[in-house]
Amino acid sequence: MIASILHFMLTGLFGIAIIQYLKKPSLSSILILQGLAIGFLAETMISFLLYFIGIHTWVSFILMAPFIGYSLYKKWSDYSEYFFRILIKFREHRITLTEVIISTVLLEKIIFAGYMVLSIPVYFEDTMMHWAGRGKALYFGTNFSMDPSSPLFMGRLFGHKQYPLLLSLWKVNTAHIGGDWTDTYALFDSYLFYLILIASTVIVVYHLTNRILYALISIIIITSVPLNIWHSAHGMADMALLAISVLSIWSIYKKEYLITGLLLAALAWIKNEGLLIFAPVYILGLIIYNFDLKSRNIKLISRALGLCLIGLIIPLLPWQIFRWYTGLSMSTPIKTENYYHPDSLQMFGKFTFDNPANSFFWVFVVAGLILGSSNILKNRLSFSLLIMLFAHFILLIYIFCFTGAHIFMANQMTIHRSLMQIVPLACILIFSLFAETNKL
Amino acid sequence: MPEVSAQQKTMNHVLLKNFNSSESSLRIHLPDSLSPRSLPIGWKGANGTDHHKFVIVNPGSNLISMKGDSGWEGNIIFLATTDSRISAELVEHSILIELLNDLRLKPVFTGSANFDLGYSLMGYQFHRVLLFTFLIMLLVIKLTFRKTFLKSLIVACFLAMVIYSIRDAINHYKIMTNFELNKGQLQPYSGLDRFIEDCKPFLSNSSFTMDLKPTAVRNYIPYHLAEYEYLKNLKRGIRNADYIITDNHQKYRSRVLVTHPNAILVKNPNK
Repeated sequence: MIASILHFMLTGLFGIAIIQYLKKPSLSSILILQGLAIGFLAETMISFLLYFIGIHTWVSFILMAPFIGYSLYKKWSDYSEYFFRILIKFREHRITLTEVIISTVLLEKIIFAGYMVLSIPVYFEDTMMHWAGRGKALYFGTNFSMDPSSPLFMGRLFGHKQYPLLLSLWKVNTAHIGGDWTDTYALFDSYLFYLILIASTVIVVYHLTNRILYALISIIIITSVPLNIWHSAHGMADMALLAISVLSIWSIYKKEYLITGLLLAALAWIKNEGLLIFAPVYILGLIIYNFDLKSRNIKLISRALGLCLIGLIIPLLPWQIFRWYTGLSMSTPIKTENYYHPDSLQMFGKFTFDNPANSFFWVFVVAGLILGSSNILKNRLSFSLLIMLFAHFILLIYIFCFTGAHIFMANQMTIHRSLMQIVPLACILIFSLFAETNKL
Repeated sequence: MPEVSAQQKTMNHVLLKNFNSSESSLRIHLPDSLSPRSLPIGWKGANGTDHHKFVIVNPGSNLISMKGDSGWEGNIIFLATTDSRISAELVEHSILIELLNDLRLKPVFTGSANFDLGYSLMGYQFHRVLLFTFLIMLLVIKLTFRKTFLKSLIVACFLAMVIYSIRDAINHYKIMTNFELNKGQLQPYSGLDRFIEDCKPFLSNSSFTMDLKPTAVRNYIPYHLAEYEYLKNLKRGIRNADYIITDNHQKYRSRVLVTHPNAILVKNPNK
């Protein structure tokens, strides 16, 4: 556990050190969270390159150290002032009984997830295969190879060789700090992303509604979607997608285009759908958010898009070149069945609206969209989020109903997780409509 | 006698004989010396058909609602289980039993398929009960407090989610208690570490393969051998392997070397 916390701090400091060169240097809660996400991307990409040239991944810490040290030296007064400011803010805030009750509900989930990380071993099949299995093989240096002719190429004895390595490499580096591989190290990243999801959603909704109560309500709604609690301690990739997607929404909202690109790169380096689904959807959102029908600000959009693509493409280059060089495909092998699978739309509808995995969440979203429809065009953010949600759904419907991936809906292996990945986007959309109604 | 599956034990310990199941549920006693478990129970209906289900039982008395279970109607010829240390009696079905049954432990899932968390209330799926509650609360809040529709919607959703969270918290508590009572062992992996240790002398110098159903166990073994060079000897086909880890050793008619309820190591008879 100590190794996990230490690693999380190192990753965070590294990310903050990077991000402070990319945007205004004032430290804020969201900057720390963005820093963490970008730290995950940068550290593991360095580890990947090191491993590729035959050097231990822990050497990445040596490469990170000067950045962290310099950043701490230069910004120490900023850091201490920031934490002092937070303490004062916390002391000044008068906590209401409602907030205490809501926080208790949330705390129970956080404690249970923490218990699972600390006590329950890795038990989830996908974790044992793709994320922790390949990570463990990487850590011990056996049963993993980057040579495409090897039977151990990309840990294919365990899981899909096509899956990116961010999470596996981060688990490996935690184990290097801890000195051995443990199941806690294999699961801790999910817990960390769960906490990032909570913190980032609270910040985003707080900024939209200007009320801490609504921020807490939003996170209760998101974390009460039944699948979330299990993914908070599974060691799988989905919780990471949820957390970073919220940070990406924030960066679009704040017009931090380069940061958006870097966060999308992190999503792509976590899971292939980060590149195939999230990146196009969020880039579309960015364009719509910046598009102005009256001024036709093509220049501004081109600049935004350019910065975003630079942030997305450059950090991913080593991985994409490796893919191209080794002939690694983007998706796992499935049957080419690119036609409409009978009854699949009904099935998709049933899993969305009438399934215990999502509870009644999507009924709430549809009701919210109907009741808040008059506000959609009043607020640029709401409109962009709505288009992003639709685009994401259209892509999911295409994948599950019109391709060979239909099998993953028929056997309920992936469909619920895919729907879970857009829960924060949908929830923030409803709260943005609500904020517009109340002009909070 | 009913069987849970071809590979599992026959349920030859009769708990109850010749009884009328109408309006009846069960009280199952598990001795205090035993750990909590997922217990198979099977019954033969008057028409001669076999039925079975798994129930999670803790040491002591466990009320199990049988309402709505397939084949639990009319006269039952016998009710049986696999363990002779367990006893059972019939109790009259009531709302309390139904409620207690709804609050029973829903175990931690071991597979990636189907995330149905399976909560229910009085025979209704819990997410539908919550949906109904959400819609009713939406109307009540809107009409009583005269809030905007969106505000009423958010508050109603929040309250329904709190109800879900409370139900979930009860289950979390039971999961933690159950896990501690099981001394940190999780089904179906309980005892697999010992099995893997006992297999190591056979596997370390030979090739092997796994002929296991697509279960969590099949992934557990490579994960726990990830640090060993000899995992490279894991073959995809049975033909070239010296040893086979299987869940159906009778298929190979070979000497059993190491056993576990969910996995057995045998020598490949064709090598």
